[in-house]
Amino acid sequence: MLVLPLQGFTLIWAIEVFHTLDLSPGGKLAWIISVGVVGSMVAINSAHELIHRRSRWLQGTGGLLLASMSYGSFKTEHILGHHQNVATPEDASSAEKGQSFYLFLPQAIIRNICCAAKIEKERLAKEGSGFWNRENEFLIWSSVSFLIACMMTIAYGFSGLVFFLGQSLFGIFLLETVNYIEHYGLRRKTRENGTFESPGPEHSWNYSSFLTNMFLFQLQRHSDHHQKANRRYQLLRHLHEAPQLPASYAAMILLAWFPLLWFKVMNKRVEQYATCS
Amino acid sequence: MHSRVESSKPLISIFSLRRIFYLLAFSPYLLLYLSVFLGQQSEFQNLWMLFPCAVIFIVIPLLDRLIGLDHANPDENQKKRLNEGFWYTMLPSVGASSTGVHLDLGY
Repeated sequence: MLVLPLQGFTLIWAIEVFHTLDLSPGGKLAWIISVGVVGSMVAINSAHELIHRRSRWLQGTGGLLLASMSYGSFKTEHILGHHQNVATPEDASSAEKGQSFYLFLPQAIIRNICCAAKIEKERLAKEGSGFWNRENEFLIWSSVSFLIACMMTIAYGFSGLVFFLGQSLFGIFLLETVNYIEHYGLRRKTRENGTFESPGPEHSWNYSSFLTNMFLFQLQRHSDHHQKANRRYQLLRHLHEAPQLPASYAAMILLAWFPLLWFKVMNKRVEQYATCS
Repeated sequence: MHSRVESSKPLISIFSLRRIFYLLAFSPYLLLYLSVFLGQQSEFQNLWMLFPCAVIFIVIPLLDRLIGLDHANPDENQKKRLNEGFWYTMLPSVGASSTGVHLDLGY
């Protein structure tokens, strides 16, 4: 994917801009936010597509892109945690009805990192290896992020570190807002034997707007993505019976940042779909 | 009779359109370059640093409303064609669609 060199080049150019342009502190903050938002929209979104592919090369590219946003743990947790536990309380990325974005955000980030470390520890234990192992993906991608942070610090001093961590933070902030939107209030029922029913179209929010789906590789056709996680983006289907958002992600992201407005718009819809299913 | 049937056939299929428009996925990087360029031409350089956010959170949702929904799903034949080649994997390294041009927005 061409996105990896693009992301690398843009990151280096963006820190050069941050370092050389005569910006006020407000201007510098605005620049960090913009770089983080764009990184999330392009690098993390492309990484999401790539980590679902079977090719190890493409998966590795996805890992590198996530490491450029200091969120390499997402690679492991998303595939082996989120896709197994979606729409249950066990999933860090599925928000409950009535949970505000600001309560969801810190636990989502912390649980994502902890789950990724736990998943890798258990996987390596099954293979007879310890946690501190070069096969540990959690350690690999964390090390890549650490390496980028060190290089930025060496090249640009403390401001380089601030820039890299700042853009990562805003990128993760945006990613977790999208996670909040994608499954808000939708819950899988518990069977008599205590296990959860299988994930279905009714457990994700969707919106099939042409333009945003081009920007996001059809990410808004989210129910179909959860039906078959490795279905390529160009084949994702609009499912008419699946829950539909009132607007595309960008508008819903803004709404999610205002919890009272969010509850007013979304809780009715959650109840409506809960009654239907 | 035959020509009327021919003329009702869409000029560009939604799948051919999507094939090209997926390139938009990389365009947010351009917003960063544009914000620095426009900022340097303006007195309000600090404000221009927020230009990418303004486009992403204001312009794109408005355009979404204007352009509308796309509910089209590929049939079995289209699925085969959509799976061919490296275009979708290696975007944007290959040229335009080879599947013909007809206009059917599918909604």
